[in-house]
Amino acid sequence: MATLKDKCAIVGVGETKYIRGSGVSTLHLAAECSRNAIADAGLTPKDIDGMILFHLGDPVYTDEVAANLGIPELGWQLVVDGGGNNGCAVVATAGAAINAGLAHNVLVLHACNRYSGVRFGAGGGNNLMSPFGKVQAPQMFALWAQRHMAQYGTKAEHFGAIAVACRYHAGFNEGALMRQPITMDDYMKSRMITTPLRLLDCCLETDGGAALVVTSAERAKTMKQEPIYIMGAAGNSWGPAGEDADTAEEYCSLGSRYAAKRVFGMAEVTPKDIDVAGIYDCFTYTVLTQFEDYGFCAKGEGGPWVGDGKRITLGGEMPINTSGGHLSEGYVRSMNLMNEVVRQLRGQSGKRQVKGAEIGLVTGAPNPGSALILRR
Amino acid sequence: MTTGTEYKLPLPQPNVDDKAFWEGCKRHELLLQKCSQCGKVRYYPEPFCPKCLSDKKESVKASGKGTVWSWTTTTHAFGPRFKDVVPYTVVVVKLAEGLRMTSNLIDCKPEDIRVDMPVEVVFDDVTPEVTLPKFRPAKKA
Repeated sequence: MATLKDKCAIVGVGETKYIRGSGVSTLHLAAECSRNAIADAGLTPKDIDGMILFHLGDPVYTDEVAANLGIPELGWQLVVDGGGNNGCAVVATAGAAINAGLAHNVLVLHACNRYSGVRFGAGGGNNLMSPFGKVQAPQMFALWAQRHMAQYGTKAEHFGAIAVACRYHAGFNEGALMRQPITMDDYMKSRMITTPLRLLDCCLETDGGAALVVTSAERAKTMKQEPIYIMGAAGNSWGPAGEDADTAEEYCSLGSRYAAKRVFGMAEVTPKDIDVAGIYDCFTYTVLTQFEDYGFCAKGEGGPWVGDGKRITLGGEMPINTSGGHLSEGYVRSMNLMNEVVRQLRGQSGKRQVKGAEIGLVTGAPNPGSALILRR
Repeated sequence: MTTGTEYKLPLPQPNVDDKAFWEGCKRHELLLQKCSQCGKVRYYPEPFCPKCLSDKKESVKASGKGTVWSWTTTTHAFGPRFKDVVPYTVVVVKLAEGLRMTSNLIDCKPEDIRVDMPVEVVFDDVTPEVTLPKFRPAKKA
């Protein structure tokens, strides 16, 4: 089967500042990150003829972004309703659209006023969940994390090591929201939100936007930046996992386990080939279970595999979320993880550069799991 | 989670799929859907049988017995209306019928909760119109 492998490349990345209290509209954030990504690619809005975005809670639409940026005409556009599992999926869809001749240069973006707009705790609910006070994402992940701990002996310190690593990385990123270093002791003493998840297990709530530009591999060669090729992609792969599970093993998994075989299969590489990763970290648990789902270790061994966190920290065998991730840089629903991996592969990550990074993995979750494998 | 005279927490808005479930709760009966064609019992309520794809269904009464599959004790109030009710425990119960149901675990200290602990349903008439099925540790026979 003809696949997307090496057919398209990411040629521009851009973002807004990640802050609390943007004071501007979500459209402003969307247009600002888009403008920056287009400029990074060495293009102008006239060169963009395709656009795809996803939104959740505070809607923004492709045609209003196009109008505001003075894009004269779009051949193809798509708006996706949903959260962070969609980031890698929309990039894959942009690649597919280019490959099918629907558009040439596609702008991909997400923006949200997640701090100053619609926050956790607002909104409606599910008839069979919210009457029992199960109203927010931390509780959904806490239930899975609790079972993972009971099933496999995973410890709080394993989650803590992920939080500490991401915060350490944020220290090298002047744009990160949370840069004050934390220790395991700080983690263990942080306020319990919903057992077993503490405050420092939870990602930030952020105002911001991040965008990138995808084009064909052929056109990418003529552009300003070194092309970062899409080797493999899996978009919102779904199956028995989490709440949709039949077995305990599936309950302690995400749809990522169904994305894994597709993304590695298309890219024709293995977890051992990954030099740097952006692992979706809405919660520390999400990261730990994805290490298992993506085959870095067997199901249930995520805790010991993370261990003291050295292997996932800068200087270790596979540093993750090197800009601080959703836990410490900002929460722009997988798009900031993606931009960081692109910069790592270009060699533009400055003090936090992973030396010789050639191949990177970016993910989004749950239950649908999405992933991209990128290379320079 | 009853907070006195005025009940402020989220209430179900019964729809065509789960109406029978909530009517059962009102009568203190825990109802599951059963496919009229192949007999598969399911929860959550949904339009089609995922096994044989029939939309013919009936309600069957569950035993109300189960075990703790997972739980989380929520100490942070997700919005002002939860300020007076934290901490509370959200539980996923594995029913004797093999299905998982999300509810609350009551009459149990958080430190005493264990995976696979036996629990039983208890009905909480939270308003004159709405009854919520909750679970408590099973009484020893």
